[in-house]
Amino acid sequence: MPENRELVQHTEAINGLLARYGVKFGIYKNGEFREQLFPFDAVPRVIEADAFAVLEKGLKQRVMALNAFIRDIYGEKRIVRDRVVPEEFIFASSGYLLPCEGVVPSKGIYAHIAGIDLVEGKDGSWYVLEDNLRVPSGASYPMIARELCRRASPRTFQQNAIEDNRNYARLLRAAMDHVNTGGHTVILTPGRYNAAYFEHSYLAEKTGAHLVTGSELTVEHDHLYFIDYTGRKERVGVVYRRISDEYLDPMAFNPQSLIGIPQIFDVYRKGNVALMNAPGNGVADDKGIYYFVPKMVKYYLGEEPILQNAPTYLPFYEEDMKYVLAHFDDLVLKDVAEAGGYGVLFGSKLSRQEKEDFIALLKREPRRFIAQEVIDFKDLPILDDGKMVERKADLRAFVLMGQEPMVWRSGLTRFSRRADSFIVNSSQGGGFKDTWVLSR
Amino acid sequence: MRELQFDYRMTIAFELPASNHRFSFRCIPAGGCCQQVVSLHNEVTPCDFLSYNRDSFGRLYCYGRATAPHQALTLHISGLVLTGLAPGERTGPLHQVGIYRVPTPLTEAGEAVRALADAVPWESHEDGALRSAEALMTLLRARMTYAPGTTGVRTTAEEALQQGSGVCQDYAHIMLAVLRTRRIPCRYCAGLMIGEGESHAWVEVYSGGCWVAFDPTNHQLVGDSCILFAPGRDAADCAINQGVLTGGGKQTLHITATVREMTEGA
Repeated sequence: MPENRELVQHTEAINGLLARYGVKFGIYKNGEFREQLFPFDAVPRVIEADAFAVLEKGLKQRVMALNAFIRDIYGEKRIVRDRVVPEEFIFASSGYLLPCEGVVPSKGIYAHIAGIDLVEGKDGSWYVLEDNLRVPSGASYPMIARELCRRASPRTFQQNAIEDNRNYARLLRAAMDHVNTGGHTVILTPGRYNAAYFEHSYLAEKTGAHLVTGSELTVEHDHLYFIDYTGRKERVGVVYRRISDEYLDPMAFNPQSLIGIPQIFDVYRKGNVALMNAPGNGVADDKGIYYFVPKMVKYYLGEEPILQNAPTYLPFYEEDMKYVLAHFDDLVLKDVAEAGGYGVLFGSKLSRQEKEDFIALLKREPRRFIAQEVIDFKDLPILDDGKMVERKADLRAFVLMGQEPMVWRSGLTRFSRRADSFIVNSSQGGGFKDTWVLSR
Repeated sequence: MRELQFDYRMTIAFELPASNHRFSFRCIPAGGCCQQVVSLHNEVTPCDFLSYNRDSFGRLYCYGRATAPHQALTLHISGLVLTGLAPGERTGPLHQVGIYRVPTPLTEAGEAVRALADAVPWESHEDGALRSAEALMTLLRARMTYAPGTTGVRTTAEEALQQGSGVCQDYAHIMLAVLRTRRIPCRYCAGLMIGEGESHAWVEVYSGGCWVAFDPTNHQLVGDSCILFAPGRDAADCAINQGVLTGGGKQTLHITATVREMTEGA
């Protein structure tokens, strides 16, 4: 472990500053909006240079394959023809959006920003748990944490050979500029009461993009315009939108949406504005489709997958169903439609009645669930009330697509604050750490 | 083959003035191997701009905005279309039409739909889907009574079949729901039929790389008697008008449509 004692002494001060800068996320629970601090643990996760080099290669490969898959699904559908992915996992998926059929976005990129969730096994090998290709969030937390850590203990960053992670904004801007169809760069936020509003404003500031809400954008003829405070119209070439597909355009998707921009989808279809990420990506980051990602790598790239999935079973296949029923207590079951750590069941933790009910449901709707081996993942040390304790943690790595895929040499490490929990999601009370990728 | 002259007018009347009205209309006949558009005139009043685009079904549509307060918005489209140029519309291979095999909320099978599906003498040979669709139309004629006003735009196939009555939209939805229980790709078609009245709806069934059109309401093949505006998975995909606006209050739709055959010397 690189030297970090001086830094760790500043834990409290850094958390105080994070609170002051408004580094929070919001949670809606029982119809109420609450903002919560995201506790920061100053003991960094450290990833050796050579280990990260492998990850980086694997991440690029995976995101290339995922982009090829989305392009194929909304186009030729070769992977369906060749029976690599059954059509039940595509057209019946809630992430597949028919309006996206036949749309080729600017530069053919669908997932401009991918947040790939990984865990490290006790044996040091990495497993991908989830691909997030819709609106992956979280990069701003390690960005600002690093900024504050550098301020608290500059020496730590002189003494240790750590990759500088302050380039995220530059990578993001490069991804935006690459697909820009001519015009302004904007970040579209649903507004102040969104869970990730801090991130939206922070990224806008760091990339030099305009932070806008839907009411400031309008479609006229074949283009999208930003209306500034004097009423002047300026063309927009790229929208990094932080609102989900269904709210993006009330004329194309959910007609109840008040935060979207009517007709933005029309000009997007025409190729006159880039939307990052592209609508319709949910077809590729569904928990059911996850099973097929290593197959996509082989199918589209003709390469062996560098990163492995956690061993996963699809009860949709009869053989897998048999395995799941026989090893029920050793598996974790996930509802493919849920996210954020919800809809996750550990077979061993169910009562007999719960187990019977669940198996009945599983047999009725096999397409709805996946089952995974419980990975014995490596615990990370965290500082809890002055004591070092070990907790479960994951890593969200960020891959951005410009001319070439770019991997951010850092990431968001989230950990569970409870000793008995495997769930690290911030919406379930987890904390975060900085991620140091060593430069040599 | 026929030469059909059509005229379609839709007026949305508002109880209170509407403003900043963003609209789109999907009622422009598409060219293909069955139908060809000879001439077309389209206008929306009032409007600040009108633009055209193609949607995910490959069909042309128009969209625009009427900013100033208005009591009504009118779309008027007319033209000359050649129909019945081919027995079916050519399309891609089976793996590209998979989306039309999946039931939608309006075409989800319930008990009644499944019971009807059990009564169909399914045939599995090469043009089995077409023979089965024909048999299904005959069954539908016996089960359903054409009765306007007994169903609404949100009535599902299952509901319409249970009550045994409905209009063209319901006939089409039931047929789609039954065919989809056998995973036969089929789609909903909205357009106009020869004569006067409102719009019409029918079904296309996929067979050997082609869409073949059936009209379950009239128990016949569509042939050259209809002008196709828009195909989709169900009626919800084919809604002609969509809009987002401020004010307006209660809206009333007035639709007039005429389709007549051009005769020699006319």
